[in-house]
Amino acid sequence: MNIALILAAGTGSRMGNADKPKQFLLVHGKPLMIHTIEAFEVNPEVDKIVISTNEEYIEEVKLMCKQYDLTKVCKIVAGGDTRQISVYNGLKGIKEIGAKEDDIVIIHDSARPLINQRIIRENIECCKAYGAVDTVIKATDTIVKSENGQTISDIPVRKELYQGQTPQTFNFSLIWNAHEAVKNKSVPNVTDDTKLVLLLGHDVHLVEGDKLNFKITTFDDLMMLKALLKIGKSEVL
Amino acid sequence: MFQLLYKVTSPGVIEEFVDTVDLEENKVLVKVDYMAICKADIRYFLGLRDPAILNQKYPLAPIHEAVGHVVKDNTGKYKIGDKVILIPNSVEEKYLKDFENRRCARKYLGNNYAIHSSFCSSSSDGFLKQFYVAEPELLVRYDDKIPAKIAVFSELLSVAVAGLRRINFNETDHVAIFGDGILAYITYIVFKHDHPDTKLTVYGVDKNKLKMFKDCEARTYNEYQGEKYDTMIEIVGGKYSADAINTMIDWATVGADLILMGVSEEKVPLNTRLVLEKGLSLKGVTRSDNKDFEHVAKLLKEKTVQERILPMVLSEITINSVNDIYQAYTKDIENKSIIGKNLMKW
Repeated sequence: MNIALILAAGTGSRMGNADKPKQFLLVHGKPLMIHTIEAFEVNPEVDKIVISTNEEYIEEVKLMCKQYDLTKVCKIVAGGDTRQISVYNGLKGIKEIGAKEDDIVIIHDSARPLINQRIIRENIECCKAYGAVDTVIKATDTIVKSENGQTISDIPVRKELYQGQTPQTFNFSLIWNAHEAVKNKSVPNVTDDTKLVLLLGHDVHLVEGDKLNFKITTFDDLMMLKALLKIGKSEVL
Repeated sequence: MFQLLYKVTSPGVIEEFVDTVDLEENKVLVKVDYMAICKADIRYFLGLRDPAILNQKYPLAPIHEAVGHVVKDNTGKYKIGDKVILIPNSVEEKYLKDFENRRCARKYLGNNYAIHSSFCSSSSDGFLKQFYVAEPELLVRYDDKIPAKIAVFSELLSVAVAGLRRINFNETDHVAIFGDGILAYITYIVFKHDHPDTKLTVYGVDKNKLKMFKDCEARTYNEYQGEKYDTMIEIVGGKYSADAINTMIDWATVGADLILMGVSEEKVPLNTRLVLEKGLSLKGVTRSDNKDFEHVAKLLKEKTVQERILPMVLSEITINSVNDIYQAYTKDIENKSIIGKNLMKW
């Protein structure tokens, strides 16, 4: 079974004065996160969807799933203060619905609505072969490292650098064990799940992402998305 | 949900656009599986039409030959997974009341000839996208045992069906197809299926292409042996339309039917004296309707039909980026010697 875990527990703190987390903002008349979930809903290889969201929005998300006929959504769990906790709570939810060890979990940010079917398909295919997958795009800008924020300490070789996106896809037992291993520990600099899997000594393979699969984090990102939609709607005369 | 839609924005240029996918009430959500490029798509892509018309068309999503499967259905008419042929032509009911559209109600013609009818990839965006929200009546279910790469030729087959149903002939009549291109071959497939015992001759210029037309006489024009024909179907088009149609007029029996299916951008001078002398009928056919697609869905079940379509699958190109679309267009444009298409799939 292939289960999508959609992370929708962000606070949208970088979206200025928006009165709702960014994933609930309406774009083209529909909450941003619904656009994202629909991409998994229509993928024939995705069997179930679990959503990890802010506790106070669980009922609202349930209603939204009904309104938009998201039939694959089978569980909505409360997220946490960090991404790591939100994922872990989602994995617990997946366990509760009877996930088996060799099931596949596709973890995706609800704020990346331009996810395409090719990326989802390749994540699942690659995970079947290797057990752990990260979606990346090649770094096109030179990346500069600064340890003090004032001067350059290093310029890593660009061809070895990639920008991480989501989905990140894992065998259920692997990602479960990775989270269990650090459950009660403070692990610094863990911003995504691949890091936890690497800590277990397991390789993580790469799937090519897409520049358009960007994350809506700031108002600029939202503006970019709306601009793209506006251009796309240019009418045929 | 969002998806990418690809549009021709100017001659030789295809660009990505972000499109929204909203499944409204009484609509069906279809995942497009296979797409084929038509000669009309190539004309828009290369800018081979009047610039004034092209400027009104661009940006335009191409492709009107496509098949897919049902992902969601708000109509109760389809099951999830049903394989469907996408019908590219439609017309709003209100236009059928216009004076000049009155004859569309006649069975032989159909609504798709109506002024203001819409045709995907010409007057509205085409199917070059992964998901398509369809009116239920613009889909025709096909047998799920039929490979999608075969079924994607349905729109062409439907045009051939539309052309052949305009012929009112006896099985003993002599019939000739003029043309050795893909629509000529498709018309040959439909004709041989529907009228296996009728004498058919195909005329073309390319001997290699003519070898594809088995179970019938297939010759070059130079190999003409003086026969006369009761029904002739012109599928030449372009700058050779005039030669082909005038040859048909010469080789016609008295009272013969001439079906014109080739597209020419130029006005074609005809030997009207001979048309009058022989009392010939000329009928123009390029547009099929739902019933033609339904007939195609039945035809596709036939093993012989599938076997004859299969050699036309020249390659299958998976579309991951706009570069793959360029590749498919380039291959189809460069292919002058083989009857077939380079198919696109997601």
